[in-house]
Amino acid sequence: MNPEDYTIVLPPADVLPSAGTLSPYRQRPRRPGIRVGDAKRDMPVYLFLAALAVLTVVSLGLLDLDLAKLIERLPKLGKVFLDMSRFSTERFSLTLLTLLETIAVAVLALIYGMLAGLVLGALAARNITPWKPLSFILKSLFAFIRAVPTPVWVLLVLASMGFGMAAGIMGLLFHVVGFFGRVFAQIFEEVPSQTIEAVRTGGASRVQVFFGAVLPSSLSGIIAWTALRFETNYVEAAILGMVGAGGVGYTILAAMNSYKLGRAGLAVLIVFVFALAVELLTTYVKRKVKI
Amino acid sequence: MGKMDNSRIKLASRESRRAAFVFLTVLVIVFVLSTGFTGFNPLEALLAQGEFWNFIAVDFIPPYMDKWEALLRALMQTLYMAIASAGMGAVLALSLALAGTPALCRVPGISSLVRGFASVLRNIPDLVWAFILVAAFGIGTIVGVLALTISTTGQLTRFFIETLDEAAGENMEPLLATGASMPPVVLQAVLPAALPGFVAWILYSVELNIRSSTILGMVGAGGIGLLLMGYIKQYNYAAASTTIIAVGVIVISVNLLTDCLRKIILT
Repeated sequence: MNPEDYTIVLPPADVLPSAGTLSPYRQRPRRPGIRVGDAKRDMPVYLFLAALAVLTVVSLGLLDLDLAKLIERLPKLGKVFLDMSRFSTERFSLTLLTLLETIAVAVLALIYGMLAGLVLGALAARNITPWKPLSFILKSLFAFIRAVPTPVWVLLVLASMGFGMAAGIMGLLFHVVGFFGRVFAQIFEEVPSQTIEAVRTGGASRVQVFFGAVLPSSLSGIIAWTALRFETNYVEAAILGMVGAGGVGYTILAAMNSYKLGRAGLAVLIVFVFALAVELLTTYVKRKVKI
Repeated sequence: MGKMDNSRIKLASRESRRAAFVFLTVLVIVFVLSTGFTGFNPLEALLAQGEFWNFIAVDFIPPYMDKWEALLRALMQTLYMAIASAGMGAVLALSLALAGTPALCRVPGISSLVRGFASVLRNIPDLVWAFILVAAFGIGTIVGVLALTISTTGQLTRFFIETLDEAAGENMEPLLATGASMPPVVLQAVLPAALPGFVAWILYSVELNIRSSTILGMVGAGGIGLLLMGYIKQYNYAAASTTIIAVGVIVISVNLLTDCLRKIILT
């Protein structure tokens, strides 16, 4: 098997390590020699794992879970799964239609967010921003936007704009813009300063520098991150329905609530199959453009 | 002026131009299709933005809160849920990944089986898991913990397999060639090489879980999301805005903390 197939992938969700480096997710350069166990060097790692184990046990204790209920209802979970696996094609065309809605919402939020992210990312990149403090302000804003979960933004938009796909798109856009602004700023900052200097000394204006030098050398990064973001967008668009916006999430919610488990099961299966297809596609794109 | 080393200007190569062309074409096609399908008009949406910000400014500002104790309790519950499920997910994922890495477990078929299972766990959104679990267990924190554990296990299995595969790929053959048997090689060489990678991914899943547990709360899995949903349903927007700020603060502080840990542990 080809080890190249298993290079570390970047995180599929919208969390970037906020220190501004992607390093833990990027493949580290290999040091020569075999790294065998070394208790002294690995101490921090072991300490962390021990602390995590303790915290997990303590958290479980503090959560005060009702284990008796868990065990008592376990057969019911089996029954739910069984009922869901008896797929029912009742109103199947509606399920498909809402899936298309979900995909369309994810696509439009992706594209509008990418366009906004390109502009805002350029303003937020330290090396090409027209005003240095703007970089800091924008990056903090991106961090705050991403800190509030998407469904909350969607709920706020729903409360003010009413239901519909437009509200879904606008709600998703918050995170997409916060994400692309942050990621594109970082990609632009990685463009070597010689590239920018060379074009600038040639007498190019700011806009010409951006389109002539910065953008062309960031193409592969932009493509890879856009493909990756689509994965997240699709999942988020799918769950939007569960907080009251439309899409396939609403179909699942409505079917579950009316105990049409067979219908819900088929809808979940379709959501899963498409998610899997998107995952395979992004893995392919990532391998192609090699970030 | 500084010294200009490797002074060739790095612009787009021919392949990346081609990739960009294909990419743009795909984008334009799906954009046209989606716009046609949804009838989404960005101008209309932009105009409605005024209404949105007006709503935020009037109803959400200033934030107000009188039940600090409830807020704190819900926040702690969210934290416990995120940590407990990351810990349990890591243990489950490690056992799955050891079986699912082809270099370590040479029983044919097991690897694809584990990968397929993990892919089902992670590609069904955790909110959907929560709904299924609510149908069986009713509303409660147990649903949140289980749903998060399921999706964490799915994610971490994928990443652990990648990490293990990388660690095994470079180290195992030479050690096995010296006549060492499998268990000590795994314990002494493969796992130690993989541990830092594991730590990075576990920290990442803690970050993810904090966000997800907020969302799961909104469908009845307890924690801060449940509180927030309650305030929004009661039109108590001042309290909702305090809760949203609290969510933002906790997410950002956890990210800062995990960044800090990453630096301490991994360098």
